[in-house]
Amino acid sequence: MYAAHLAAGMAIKGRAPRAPTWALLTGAFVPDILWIPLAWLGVEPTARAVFFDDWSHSLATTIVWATLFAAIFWKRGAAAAGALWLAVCSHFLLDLPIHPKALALYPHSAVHLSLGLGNVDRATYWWVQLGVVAALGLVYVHGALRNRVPARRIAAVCLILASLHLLMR
Amino acid sequence: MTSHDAIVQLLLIAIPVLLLALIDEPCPGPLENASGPAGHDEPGRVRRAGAEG
Repeated sequence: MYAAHLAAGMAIKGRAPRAPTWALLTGAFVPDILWIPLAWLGVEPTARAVFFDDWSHSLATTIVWATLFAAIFWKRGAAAAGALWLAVCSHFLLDLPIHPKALALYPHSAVHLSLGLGNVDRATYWWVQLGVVAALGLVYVHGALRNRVPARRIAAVCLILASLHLLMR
Repeated sequence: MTSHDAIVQLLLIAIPVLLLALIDEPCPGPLENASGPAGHDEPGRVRRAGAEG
């Protein structure tokens, strides 16, 4: 998932206007942001045969990252911190259906979580993501209209989300 | 993962995050920061050209 993570951040923004947008969007990518240096260092190998991303993407560590990330913004209020916690956790939920490897319960756990769609073809994967982006986009639009965000700004956000998804084709 | 791959991956995240954040929460302009719009001495009192003297 790519645009779907951004759409999740924007959807949460619609419900938590006091949370900073940049932080919600960054939060939605925290496991990937951590995965990049870990993969670069070789801690989480990316080769298909030995693919491993339990430290950055497992359920337990995602909850830890979410809690640490939300704690940084605690002074902005419980609602904002909760929204940021949810933004980080949304990454796990969106990766759960389709991920290169089933997501671990915790690092090196024998238990892996998956919705079993990991073997779908690329086109199906794209359409599934489109559905997720569209659904989260609608949640964002609903919240943004309620918060009286100008229509042109809402349209620009939707256009960018749709464009990013199209670019990933 | 090579250094090049890592930088590309980071940019793929950072660029849309910055773009969407700037669109959704644009920095306030100087007029939005001022105490009132141009032409107003105080709220509710508008100075009209030629109204006095």
